Amino acid sequence: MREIIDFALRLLITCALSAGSLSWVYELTADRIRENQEKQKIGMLKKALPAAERFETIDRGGLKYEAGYRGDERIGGVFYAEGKGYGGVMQVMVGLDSQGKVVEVVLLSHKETPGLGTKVADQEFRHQFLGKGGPFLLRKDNPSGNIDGVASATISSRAVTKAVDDSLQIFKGEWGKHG
Amino acid sequence: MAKLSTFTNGLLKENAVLVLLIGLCPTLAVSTTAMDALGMGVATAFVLVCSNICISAVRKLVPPQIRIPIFIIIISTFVTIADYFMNAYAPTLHKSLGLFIPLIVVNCIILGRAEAFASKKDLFSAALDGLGTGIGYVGAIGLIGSMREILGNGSLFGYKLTSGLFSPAIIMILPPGGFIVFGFIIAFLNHFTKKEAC
Repeated sequence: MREIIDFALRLLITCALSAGSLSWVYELTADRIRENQEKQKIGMLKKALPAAERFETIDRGGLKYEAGYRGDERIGGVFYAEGKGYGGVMQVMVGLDSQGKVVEVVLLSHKETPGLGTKVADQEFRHQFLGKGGPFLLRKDNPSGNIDGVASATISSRAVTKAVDDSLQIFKGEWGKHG
Repeated sequence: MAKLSTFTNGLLKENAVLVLLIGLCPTLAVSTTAMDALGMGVATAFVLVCSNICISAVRKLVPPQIRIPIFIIIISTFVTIADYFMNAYAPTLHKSLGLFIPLIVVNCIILGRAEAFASKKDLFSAALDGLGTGIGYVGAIGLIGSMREILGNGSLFGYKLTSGLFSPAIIMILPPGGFIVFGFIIAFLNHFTKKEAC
């Protein structure tokens, strides 16, 4: 009995010391971590819609997007969309100007095969969307399609194409309702 | 003096990855680029040195029956510290290593050194042992990462090296490539260090 209490006390002290030092390190780094995440988010948004000076998050019951402003003028938006890739869900961020034309497509997160599926993030694939207003369809799926998939990465290409197309649908439903 | 060999043993003669063949899961999983590999190596070495020192310092206060939970608490404390600092000061690296940072807790190199060495030796020896094993680990994973990045992506630390010389073999940055590179490095090492030559 005495032994059990002794062990328990020693474990308790170890845990308390560990928790104490960790909360200290957390305090030390928390601000910087939050700052980094904020900076990273702004950086991503800027990549999707470089012309915007500031962004405003618009949240309408589950539908969330970022409206981009230059001065007081709303020049476009950044929309989030998902597609089912080869290795899981691919999250895509699509920057659209006020005409609903694609400004940029940014891959947020994915688990595609390095060197094959990851090529959908390359300029060569992405440029097929830029400056156009859709609808987008993979040529492989439909003879009248307008997007060439990346060789040996059809599933990844289809996922991104669909995600861009979805964000255009959101744009059509949302733009003009607000502001 | 026995002290010097405590340090040098971990470098090559008893290199955790290349000779003892332990801690291979994170070593093969995150060695797809030289940068990721070095980041992982340094984080692991940091945890190894700190936990070795800490465990050696408390070794007389820890009853043998509960040593494993206490070692694990100590190790996971340092892993979490490393995790926070990486997230704060090297966010890109932190993002690409992802889940493998918290998994350093169960890296058997660290618990292995704690059990076999730090819990029995004085503070100075434990620190030397951690440093030697840690540097050996950084070297090994860095070497594997560099080779894989060159062969599989034609670059090193993100700089293009081989444009035009050969087209990179994607398989080298996929899991099988990890085993291939790893096997060749061990074969070379054995060829030069073992007398009964293969």
